[in-house]
Amino acid sequence: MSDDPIILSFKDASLYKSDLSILKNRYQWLNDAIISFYFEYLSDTLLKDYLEKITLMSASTVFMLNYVNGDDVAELNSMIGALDLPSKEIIFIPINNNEDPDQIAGGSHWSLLVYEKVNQSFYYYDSISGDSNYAYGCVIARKLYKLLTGQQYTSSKISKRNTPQQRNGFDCGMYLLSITENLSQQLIENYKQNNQQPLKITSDIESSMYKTITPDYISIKRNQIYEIVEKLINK
Amino acid sequence: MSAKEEPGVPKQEGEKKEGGVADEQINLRVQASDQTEVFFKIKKVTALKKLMDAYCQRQSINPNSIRFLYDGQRLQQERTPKDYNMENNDIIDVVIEQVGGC
Repeated sequence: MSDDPIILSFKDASLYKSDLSILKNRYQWLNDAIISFYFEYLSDTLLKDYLEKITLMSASTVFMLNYVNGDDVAELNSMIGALDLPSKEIIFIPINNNEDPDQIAGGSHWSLLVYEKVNQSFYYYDSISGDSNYAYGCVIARKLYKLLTGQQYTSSKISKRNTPQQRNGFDCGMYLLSITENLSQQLIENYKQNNQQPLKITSDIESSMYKTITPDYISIKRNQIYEIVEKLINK
Repeated sequence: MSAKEEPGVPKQEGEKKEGGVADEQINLRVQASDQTEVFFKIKKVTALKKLMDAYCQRQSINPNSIRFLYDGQRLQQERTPKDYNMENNDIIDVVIEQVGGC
């Protein structure tokens, strides 16, 4: 226990020494602790003045939703009511394909679900095309829909979106983080420049994601996140 | 009236009150995914690390592989039930580590 201490507590995220070594090793799969850390970091920097509009859910909170019976709003509210999700314009939701809540470090793939309030719709972004995680995204969309809209979910409320693709077997967590950062950045830009309200993920936003998110960008980003953690530790 | 103004009297009352808060205990239920619950009684001003360590030890889990959630947010081990405004019989959810790469 003591040889793996917590090396950084940042807002609601905690990183153990072992989490940092995952980040350092280019080929290791990211875990939910790193995803949650970077989400907290973005919420504290890029999104700081926009948290009433945009929210990033922690991966373990999303996983916990699997325990809820169906889409019972009262039960959901008792678990995540404090997050005040129905008031948000955009919600970023990390999706993992782990099915067994008792298997430690279960799962093999991360992808991203985004809720857009103005259209009452979910968009699904996956750095590996194919159906690997889509069903898991649909499960979470189905669970949250009534809480968010007061209406019954139908499968037309979620759509798969074109997404920059990973070219290896280890970077999906980095794509999840980079897509989240890139979409948020563009949403904020649109809001600032054109006073675009409410926030909306336009096709322009989606297509310019491809200009930024390349395999090279992803490896640089991974180093940058590692450096951010180191800097915060030494603060 | 004059007794109230005596410096010693209010001080004594203050001490009593402080003692009351520090000693106040709370029952918390730590719930796993299979709905099994483990009950803990801790002081409202005790760091939650105590509860987390106790749970991990009892369930033989390494602390770095589970996350404790309250109101949809991860609990910080140095904070206390009082910091989170927890109430008696509140539930803390336990979620295990997830990974993904391909």
